[in-house]
Amino acid sequence: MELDNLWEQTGEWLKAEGRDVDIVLSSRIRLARNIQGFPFVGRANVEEKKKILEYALQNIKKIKNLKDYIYLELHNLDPNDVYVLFERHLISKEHAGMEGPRGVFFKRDETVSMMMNEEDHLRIQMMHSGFHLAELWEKMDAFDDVLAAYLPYSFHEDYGYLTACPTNLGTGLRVSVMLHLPGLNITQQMDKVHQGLLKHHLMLRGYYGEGTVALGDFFQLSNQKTLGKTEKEIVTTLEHVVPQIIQYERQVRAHMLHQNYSDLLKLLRRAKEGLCRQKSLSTEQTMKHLSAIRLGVHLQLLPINIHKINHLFLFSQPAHLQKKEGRILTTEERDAARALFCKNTIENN
Amino acid sequence: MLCEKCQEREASVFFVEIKNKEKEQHSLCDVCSHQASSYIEKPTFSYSLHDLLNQFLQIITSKAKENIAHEAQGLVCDFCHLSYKDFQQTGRLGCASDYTIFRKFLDPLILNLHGKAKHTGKKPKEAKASLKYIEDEMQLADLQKQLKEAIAEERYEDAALFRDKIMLLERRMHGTR
Repeated sequence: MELDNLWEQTGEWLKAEGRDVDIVLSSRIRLARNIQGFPFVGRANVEEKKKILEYALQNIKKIKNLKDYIYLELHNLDPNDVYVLFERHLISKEHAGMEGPRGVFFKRDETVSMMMNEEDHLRIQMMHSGFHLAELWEKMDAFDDVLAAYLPYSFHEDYGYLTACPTNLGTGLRVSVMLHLPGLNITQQMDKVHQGLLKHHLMLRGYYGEGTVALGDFFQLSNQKTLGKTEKEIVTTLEHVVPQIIQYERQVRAHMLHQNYSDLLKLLRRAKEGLCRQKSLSTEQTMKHLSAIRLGVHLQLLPINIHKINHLFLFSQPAHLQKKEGRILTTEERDAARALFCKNTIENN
Repeated sequence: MLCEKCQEREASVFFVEIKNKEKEQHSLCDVCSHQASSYIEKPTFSYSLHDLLNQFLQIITSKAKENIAHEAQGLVCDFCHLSYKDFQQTGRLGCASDYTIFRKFLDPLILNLHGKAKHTGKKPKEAKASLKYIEDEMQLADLQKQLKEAIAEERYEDAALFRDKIMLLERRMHGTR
């Protein structure tokens, strides 16, 4: 199976390359699109969902130069593999948890993924490590143009691209960055950040996007409104606001380094011990420790390779652990396996 | 509408709070809504857009209930058989036609959500004209790579072939744009 070779790589969004990658883990752009002549997914029965998949695939396959793409049908996939895809951010939590005919079409290097039959017929995503929104939008714009020539999109003169939920109407565009803000979170300044974002109509959410909690100082920042602004205006707003948050976080980190150096070292030591000396570790504990260690690595206080940290981020997640062990584990078994895996990875330099 | 707490700023956050099974409507400004942690859930900013939509749905339905109730509730889409009542319950529309059928009731909701109800972004029509160009561009990149490889491997006959193809393609691309 294709996934067996694929799942061992770390994926685009954890490559640790690109602009401001010490704070912006990754940039992501998503477009919601529906195809004319079919009911939206939530209103479609099994037969109709099958037809949507068939029709979309048939037409996408006509596009030249779509090499290195993999198509997987989630309804025919091992349930743990579905969650492996979710943990890699190739599909959403909703898409993983849904039932019925649905699929994902993604580029082998994990920079492009197309969810089929999620809430909308198509959810097209592009990812890039680091802070690179403008470049991503350019790529997405061109890709969307090609798709539009093969698939008749549902479009309305006033409402723009029609989506199942009115919150995505218009451009169907969600632009987001995954931020690592340990400095601001530890010094309890996230409220201030949050308040500052309100006037820009931006929102901060958890590690896995909508409806999820923040794990280990990681936050997803994205636009709230999708209608009434051009795509470029939406991208520009984030391009303008994110550097301010980056600067704010850097100031706090510098302050910690100069004023609270011993506290900072204590925090890092505790995180490293927490990760290496436990018999059992939950996902939340692991993310918390990894977040502190990631901070230490970027402040050049810990001589650990950043790729090792990113590897742990992904492979300590439940479905990845189970994939590695080759079976479904109980929570206790998983926490034990995670603790051992973290210890071995960190200590084997 | 003024904020119920400070009575100074314009209210921008509207929601319904359920207390002892009684519904209480609130309207707060940005500043007060943020301070009033007892009013709004504050679990590390993990609120969802759908919650927001549901709040709007509740306000709009309660505000204009008398006026539009009968008219809206009776409407059903011919294509996907979604009724306005279904939409109120799920927050999701069933097909593209629903936007036309329920437009009168959707307009205020969309205006509330986005601040505007007119799309100004890209359109699929413009895309069609530029498609050929994008495909050509992708093909051009491929040919250039093949040409480079052919030269590197000293396959000069192949290289000449690729060069001719590139020239033809470039001429067409400049002519069509």
